[in-house]
Amino acid sequence: MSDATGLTAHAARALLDDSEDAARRAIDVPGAPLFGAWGVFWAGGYGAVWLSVRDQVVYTGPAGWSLAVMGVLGALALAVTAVVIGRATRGVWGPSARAGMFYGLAWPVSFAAGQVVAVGIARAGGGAPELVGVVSATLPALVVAVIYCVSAAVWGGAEFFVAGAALAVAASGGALLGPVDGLLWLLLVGATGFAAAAVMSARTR
Amino acid sequence: MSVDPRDLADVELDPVIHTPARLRIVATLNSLGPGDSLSFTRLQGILGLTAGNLITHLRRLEEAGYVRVERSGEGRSARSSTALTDVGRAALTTYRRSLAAILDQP
Repeated sequence: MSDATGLTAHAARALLDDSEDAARRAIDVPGAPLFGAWGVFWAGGYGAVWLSVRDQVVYTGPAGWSLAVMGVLGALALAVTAVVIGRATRGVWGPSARAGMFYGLAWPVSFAAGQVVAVGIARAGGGAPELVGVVSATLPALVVAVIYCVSAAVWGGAEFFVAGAALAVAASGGALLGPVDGLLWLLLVGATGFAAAAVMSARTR
Repeated sequence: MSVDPRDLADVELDPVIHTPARLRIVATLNSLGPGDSLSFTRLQGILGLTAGNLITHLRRLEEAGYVRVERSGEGRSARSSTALTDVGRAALTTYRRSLAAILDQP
């Protein structure tokens, strides 16, 4: 069927499907680069910290250079996140934008609270380096795990649940294994979770 | 089940939507979440249409009640947002059903 516009019904359906796909690709926040960036932060950051403590006969805590590496990789991952989300959501206004803003705020609020809790636990334990090491490594992982799992519940993205579940396993196992072996566990399980989530996200996009 | 070709002749595609540019506009706005709107410049960027062309088609869709265009601010700070109305969403659903009725016949 064709008419004065020259648009057949076949062409119209194809155009409709293509337009909806193109719009979703333009507007939806792509998960793969975000999971990828944070996976690199996770592997590189926790990897550097683990390298700096793995040979300590008496645990004294991570070296300053390793924390600096983690900080730089964290800043880069944050920058990637800001650019990717900013590009996708530019010009989109309404409930989705507000939900995105609250989601973005959930991260600093949760991490700030997590740091206060970590300081409190460390103080209560007399500031023992092992205790500080375990709490400061696993508590942020648990915060991320909870936020990702809630994200999956709200938006239905299975990749978020995979990443969240992996980080929950990483955090709980890391706490049981102690400040040195626990870091290696956190690094391996967490990075695997991020990689799996990135692959899933790329495939479903 | 066979379909009488005379029934197909009765299936009409909404002429407001059934042009390439307006079909793309409606499909793009339909991809937004409920209650969301899209800036004019972003919509133009996604569709790759000229501003004049987009304004012309948006006006036609607005007249039909399918699209809501809201303008705010003045001068350099002026901005327009576009969103599909409930009437527009319903029209797209009907359009999609009409397409299916035409195309999905044995």
